[in-house]
Amino acid sequence: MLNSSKQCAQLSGSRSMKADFYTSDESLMVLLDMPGVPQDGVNVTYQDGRLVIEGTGLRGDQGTYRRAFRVSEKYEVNRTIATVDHGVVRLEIPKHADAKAVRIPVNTA
Amino acid sequence: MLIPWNRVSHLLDDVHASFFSPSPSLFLTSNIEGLPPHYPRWRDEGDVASLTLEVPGYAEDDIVVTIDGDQLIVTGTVDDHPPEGYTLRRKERQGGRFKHAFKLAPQWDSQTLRAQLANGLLSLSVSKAVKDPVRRISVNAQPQEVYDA
Repeated sequence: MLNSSKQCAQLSGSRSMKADFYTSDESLMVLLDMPGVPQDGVNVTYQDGRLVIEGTGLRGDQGTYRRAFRVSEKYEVNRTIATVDHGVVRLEIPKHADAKAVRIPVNTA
Repeated sequence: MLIPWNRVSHLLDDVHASFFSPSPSLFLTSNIEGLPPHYPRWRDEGDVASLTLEVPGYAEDDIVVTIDGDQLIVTGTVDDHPPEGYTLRRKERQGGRFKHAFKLAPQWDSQTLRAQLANGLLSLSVSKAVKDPVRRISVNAQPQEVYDA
């Protein structure tokens, strides 16, 4: 799912935010704490297999946030849905259709 | 060198106090329940001051601010269970319930306290207590007793 050893990348002067990671049969969900950052202050990019989340607060003294993590190829990152609510960024990254678990019906012989 | 535990414990108390008190002359705080708030910031602007706490994920209805004498108590409760259909893989964020107490110094009027929540930041602002104006007390001469000899 994630490459934890390379999960956290920080720039000087920026804060790394705390995150929770969840998975379901359909998708990967990441919640990231970014207090003080409004919706238009959040920037999510995907480059070289890494998803980078950056945020800038309204007040200068709150600094900037940055966190990057690798996402497995079984997830379709370009279909990520990102929302912001009460200072928490929520990313939902769906699995590729062929990576989803398929239930095989078991029939009697 | 061995340091007795009670000394280490005192040192930790100092660290604790300095971490929790954004401004030691104005607030003394204690953590009653849950983990401490992150980056409490005290901003003194003369007649008004504000304390900002980071509470990402808590909505207006999840936060209760109460005043009890000179104690300012902030409580937060939020559902920390995984979203339906999801399994937790890694947990770093603080969630659930917290309760913090702050002691308001007497120069601040707790009746003027206002709380505002925006983008996961709780801002508590308070005004300086209005001092009674300086009054001059007139000094009266005691009436002289007159003796008629």
